[in-house]
Amino acid sequence: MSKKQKALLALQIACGVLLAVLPFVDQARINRYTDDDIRKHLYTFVLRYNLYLAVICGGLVAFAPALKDIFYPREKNKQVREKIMETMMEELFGGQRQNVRITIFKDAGVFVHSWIYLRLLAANIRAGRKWLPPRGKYVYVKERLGTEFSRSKTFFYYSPATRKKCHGVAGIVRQSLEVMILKNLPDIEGIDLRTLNMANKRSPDVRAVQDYIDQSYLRDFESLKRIHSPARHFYGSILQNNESPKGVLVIDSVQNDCPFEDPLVLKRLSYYSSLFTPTM
Amino acid sequence: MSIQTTIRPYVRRPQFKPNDFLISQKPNEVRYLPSTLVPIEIVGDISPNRIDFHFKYSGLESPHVRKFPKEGVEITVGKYTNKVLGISLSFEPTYADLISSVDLGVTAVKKARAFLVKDSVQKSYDLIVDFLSQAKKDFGTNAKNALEDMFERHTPDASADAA
Repeated sequence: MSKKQKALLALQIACGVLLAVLPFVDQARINRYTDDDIRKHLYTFVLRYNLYLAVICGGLVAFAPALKDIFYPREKNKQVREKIMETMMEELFGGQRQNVRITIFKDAGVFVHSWIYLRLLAANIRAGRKWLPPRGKYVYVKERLGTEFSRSKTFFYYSPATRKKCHGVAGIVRQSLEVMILKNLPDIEGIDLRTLNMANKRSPDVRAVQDYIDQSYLRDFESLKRIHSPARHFYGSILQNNESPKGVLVIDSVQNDCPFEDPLVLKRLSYYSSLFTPTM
Repeated sequence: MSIQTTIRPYVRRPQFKPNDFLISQKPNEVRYLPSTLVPIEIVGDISPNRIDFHFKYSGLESPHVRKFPKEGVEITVGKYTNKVLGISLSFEPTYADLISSVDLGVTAVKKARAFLVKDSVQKSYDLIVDFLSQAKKDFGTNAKNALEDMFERHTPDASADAA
């Protein structure tokens, strides 16, 4: 039983107990307690708002099973996705979680899209930029396996119309509906991006970072700064549910050798991508 | 003669090589067709005046309500990706017309491909064209006798004799 399910069960029990107690709370019972007894205040509150409490508790008890039905399939799908990612990590990459990272990006819905847009808008205002963030679509990290940044809030922009404006492997793959492998990108692991002055074009670090941005389709320095660990090799594949494309599987590696060149690995990755279909 | 007896099923599970999925290749970038855009099985229902090809993929998708009718050719595409879900070819009930309708189907798919923006979906259409060319070959070799027999049995004289 997940934490959400346990919380829901506890809430259901509490509401049930309150509903059972309500008919027995009357003025005579309240008068038994002195003013400094907390039970007097509690029973007074229950007696005063008994109608509202009965409606709220009754509603919660009635709708809790429906809430379980909403949360349970999502939880189950998440568990299946995590299991698939773990199996991939073990079978294809020898469990090297320090070097390989598996991420599932999902299309941002209305709420996530609004949150991302507001976040970008706030960043623009802070930086004194006068333009609005792009109004296209976004994919965001849904699940991740392989690093300490499993709860990453990384997102990428994609334009449904053209790949030229899409950001990152995830954005490009989501727009173009294809499988993409990027390999041997510049190694910028040792460069401190927070202190790097991109205006100094002659600096070797700046040139390496610019090459990385160009080759990885990140488009701008801000997008690169949002990434925790810049990888050297990427594999991206479109994921779809039983109706339409819904996200992107991205695997990145910081190893010196690209792990996606073996045709057998590619075949297995294609197979694993298809396993995500019912869970998206 | 009932419709069921005249329909001949045509089933193919294409065998592809890795290079068939290659969209483009650069020194540090390779792009492939995803498995969701590769037909894993093609089922054709052949009747004396119509062929319906159904393309099955690893991912399901609702058909688009809009079709591309052109000279007896109808292409049903996916609602979200525009991949080809089905092709219907109508023709006069003769073997020669059946063969020429497949050519018309190839032309229609190529024309529909020209309107696509995404390289991956264009590549998927190329696989469909390859399949139709293969189907035409099969209709001219392995299945030729069976198809000619179907048309002969369908002629009004043959129906009258059977009655």
